[in-house]
Amino acid sequence: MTGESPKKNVFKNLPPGVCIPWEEKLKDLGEIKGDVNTIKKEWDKLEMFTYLYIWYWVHR
Amino acid sequence: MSTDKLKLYEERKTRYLKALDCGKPDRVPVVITGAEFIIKFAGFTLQDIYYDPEVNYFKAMDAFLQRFDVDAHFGAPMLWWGGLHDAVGAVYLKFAGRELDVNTQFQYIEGEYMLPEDYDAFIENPTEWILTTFLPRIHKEFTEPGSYRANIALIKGAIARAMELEVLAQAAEKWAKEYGSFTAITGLSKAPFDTLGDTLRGLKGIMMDIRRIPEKVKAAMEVLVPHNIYYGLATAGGDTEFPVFIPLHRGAFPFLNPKQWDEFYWPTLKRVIEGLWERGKRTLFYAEGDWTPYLEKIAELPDKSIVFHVDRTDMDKAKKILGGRFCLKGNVPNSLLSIGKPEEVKDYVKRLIDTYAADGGFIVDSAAVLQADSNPRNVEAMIEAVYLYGKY
Repeated sequence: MTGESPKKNVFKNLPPGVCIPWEEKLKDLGEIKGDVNTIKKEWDKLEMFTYLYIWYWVHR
Repeated sequence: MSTDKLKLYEERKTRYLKALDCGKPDRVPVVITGAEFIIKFAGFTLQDIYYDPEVNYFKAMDAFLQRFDVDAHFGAPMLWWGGLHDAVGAVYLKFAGRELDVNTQFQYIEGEYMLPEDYDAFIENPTEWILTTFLPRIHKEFTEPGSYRANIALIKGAIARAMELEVLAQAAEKWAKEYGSFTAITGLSKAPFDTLGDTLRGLKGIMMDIRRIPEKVKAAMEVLVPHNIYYGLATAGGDTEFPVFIPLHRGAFPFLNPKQWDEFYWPTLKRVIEGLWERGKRTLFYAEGDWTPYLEKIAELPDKSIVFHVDRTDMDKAKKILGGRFCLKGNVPNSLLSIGKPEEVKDYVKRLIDTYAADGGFIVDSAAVLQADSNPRNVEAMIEAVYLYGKY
């Protein structure tokens, strides 16, 4: 591990439970024709599970 | 759930929750924090438990719950599934049946998996740093991020974890239905200093850091406070009836001297506990080792916000300083449970109850997690003594 340069982060100061901010995803999705909250709710749910999996390897 | 099991479940739950709330239930509750003890008692090898979830969550627990009439337990004997660790090539755990003999306890290979120069990236975005820097270091399969093997391992690891949680949910349902039994905790979190000092920097690394780069350590712990609150709540699945488990490691005396403890360990741990409590979640303050010098500080916490588990902390002082405001739990010595006689265990439990449980807010448990050398007759004697002497 010695001599390895730290990788540059893509995001800064993300709150707990967030891996990729919804605002970023929204840019990719473009115009939402239906209810945005329905889509966001599912996104947030999967964000949380992904976050918990990543942190699982630290909290042991 | 059959009527009698439902009744038993409700009786035990009422008893346990009343004690957590510093009240006086019908009887002192008894909890077993069992791990390798359960495996040996059930007649399986450690490899069976580490590698076969069917054995870990169902067969071993069936044998345990049929024999030991406890109010609550700590769930399956093994926290870590070897299959999940193999899927990602985890380098820091050695398992029975893989590198170790089939009956040798797992070994943790502590190392500086986070380097001093990683602090800035960690502080800026710990979630991203863990995924992009930490995991490739601890997961052999991630050596070439983006490669076929790394992608397969990432998918396989996440699926394995989801499968493991599904098995746990099924097991919890079975324990309730068939035995009227439940786990004493929901969710897990850590002291921010332990998050750094256990798995990231290791003991040697963190002890150097608090001298060489103390401000970085403090900044990293500040960043960890909201994450550790969130992790405790999210892993509890929203439950606020049962306490979140915080196993406490480097804060035990004398890893740090009292000045270091005040400066580095306590402020952020206190905020994690207070943050959980503000959201209705009590903490099981699992104080492994001796915490006697810090009892006055711990007493600063809001009333009832923790259950203080006594291992080698002075029980007299714990009762005097924390009693009445926080439920106390413990502390039948593991050595006694291993090599003592059943009558000696009963005498110890009677003394515990007579001396510390009279006002309520007390739970009998082993001092530390039960290991394979615990004698089943002594564990049984511990439970019998609570039934015999613990009625209010």
